[in-house]
Amino acid sequence: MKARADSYDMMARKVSRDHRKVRWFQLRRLLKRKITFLSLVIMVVTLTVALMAPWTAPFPEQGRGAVNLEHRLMPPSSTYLLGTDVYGRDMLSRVIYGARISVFGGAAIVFLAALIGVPLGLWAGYNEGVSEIVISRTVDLVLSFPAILVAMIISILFGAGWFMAIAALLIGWWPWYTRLVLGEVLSAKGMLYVEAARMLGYGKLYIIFHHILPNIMTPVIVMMLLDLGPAIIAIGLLSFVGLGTQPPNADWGLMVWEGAPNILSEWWIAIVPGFAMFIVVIAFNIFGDALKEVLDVQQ
Amino acid sequence: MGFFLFKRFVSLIGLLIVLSTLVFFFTRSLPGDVAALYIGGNAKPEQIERARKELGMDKPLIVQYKIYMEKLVQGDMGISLRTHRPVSRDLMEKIPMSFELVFWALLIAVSGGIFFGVTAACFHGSWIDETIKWFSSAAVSTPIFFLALLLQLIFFNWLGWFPLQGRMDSFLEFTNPIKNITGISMVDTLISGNFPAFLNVGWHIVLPVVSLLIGPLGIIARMIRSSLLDVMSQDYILAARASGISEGVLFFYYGLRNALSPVLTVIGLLVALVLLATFYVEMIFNWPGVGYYSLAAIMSLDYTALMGVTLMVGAVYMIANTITDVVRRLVDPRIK
Repeated sequence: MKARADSYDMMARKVSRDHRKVRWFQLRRLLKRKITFLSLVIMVVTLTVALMAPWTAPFPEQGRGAVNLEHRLMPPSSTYLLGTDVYGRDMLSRVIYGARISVFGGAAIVFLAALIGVPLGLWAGYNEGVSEIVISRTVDLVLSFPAILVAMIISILFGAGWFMAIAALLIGWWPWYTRLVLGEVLSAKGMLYVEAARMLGYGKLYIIFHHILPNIMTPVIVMMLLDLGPAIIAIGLLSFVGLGTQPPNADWGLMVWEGAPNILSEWWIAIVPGFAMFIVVIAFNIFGDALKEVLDVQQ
Repeated sequence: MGFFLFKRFVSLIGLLIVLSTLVFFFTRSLPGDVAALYIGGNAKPEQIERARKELGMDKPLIVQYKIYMEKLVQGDMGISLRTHRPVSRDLMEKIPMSFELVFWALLIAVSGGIFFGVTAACFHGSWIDETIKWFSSAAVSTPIFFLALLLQLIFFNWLGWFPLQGRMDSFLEFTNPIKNITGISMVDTLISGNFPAFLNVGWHIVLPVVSLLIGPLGIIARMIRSSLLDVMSQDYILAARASGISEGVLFFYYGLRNALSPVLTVIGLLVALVLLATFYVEMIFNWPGVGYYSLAAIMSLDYTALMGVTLMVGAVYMIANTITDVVRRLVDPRIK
């Protein structure tokens, strides 16, 4: 009996694998659109350049914060492609090093939020009863506070810094994933394949991880992609007011802050990192939107 | 419905109590000595002791909590460590100034968002739709501080169309001072017939309002567009069309009404977004409102002012959410 059940299970899993193959086909179609392709290129280039910062930045030392006072406030030129800032540091190198902090910070927030939020949602959705009530009430409670303000307060209380900014933003970020997954699990539970698996005698954890999780991953991944841009902006918002990355390191938000006093004369100091942020965020947003459309995710 | 209203009201009160309790215990668990901060640097120990007594911080925590809640109910939020004035008085003075910005920004964002969203859905697939889609993607991807600085750079420095910052020209503050009636400068100048000041304030308010409204405008336009497209493909629209109802009525009466409901859910979030954006916009445009005050409190670690600001923003956010919830139920009978 058990062997038979296993073969049914394998069939069910093959069906859902085929399903995912169809999705891959749809993804290929996605890349045929010029604009989504372009945003994918921007994403990949940004990540590569940021990862390889010591080699891609023209002046790695200055990117890390070394001052270069004899070349202060230079406009863009052939040596300093994007000009230099108040301390004479090459803006291009600064922006490349800033990408590490901004983009990887955003990615860390989204990834950790999903890591916390998804299991809680799975647990609450599958068990219902007390754990569902406790978890969904907690989600409601946390989401009824304005997240960025909470993050600001936490950063002020426990000391500002990059890690603290990420931790503080996480507090208001994970409940979105729990809420999403909870809804998805509750609707997946009524599906025939879950009932069938339960009837075949599989355990709770097995069903959660092998049947439900693969089927609800698509909306989660789309949400993660769509959250990357906002997460990058959120870190920038904290850094801009001095509650994120601390100098001499700089993410894009802090760089805009540093350039703000010179906006009327040496405008590139604030505009370059701000524009970098804009381009990367819009690339993530466009790609996420296109993916959502192709995969037909309703949120 | 009555029961629902009652439930929402009770949970709102509960949330506000939780919020104020959290704010209290967070600020009391601070690493620094608030009394020392209050009295300033180089204070003698006995002076700090006196300041502690004055702030009521020598009592046990639970007694302090009781006093804090009692005062809060009466609208007393303590004394700001930075301005040395009651926080509630500071806030009362600043709120109308920010209200002015937020009011215009939300008004234009909501009406413009509905307009652009409907237009995009109307011409679905055409270049108009594409343009609006692009614009809204760009709008939600622009960090607010970058947008504000960019507007200053372009419209003040390069084109010279709008003033750089402030609420009005400084010489007008002497020749045509604003009488303080409601605190909202455009209303005050209009009531007192102070037209030069009215025009001047109107001229100064443009850039801050534009930087505040771009993001929400993009969000609303995109939501209206997608929810309208979704609604228009429903069966009941097909049925209505089959029974010979004209396209215009179909679109604006049956379509739009149903499409607005999901948009209402994000209004609470938008209010929070705009409130937070005022921190940055008022700072960059030197607009003397509550956002500027909040950011100054954050940057100078003014804990009592920060407590007041947190309570205010949190309360506004929660109240906005409750109201949208109630309105949504009134508008959309499908929600249970």
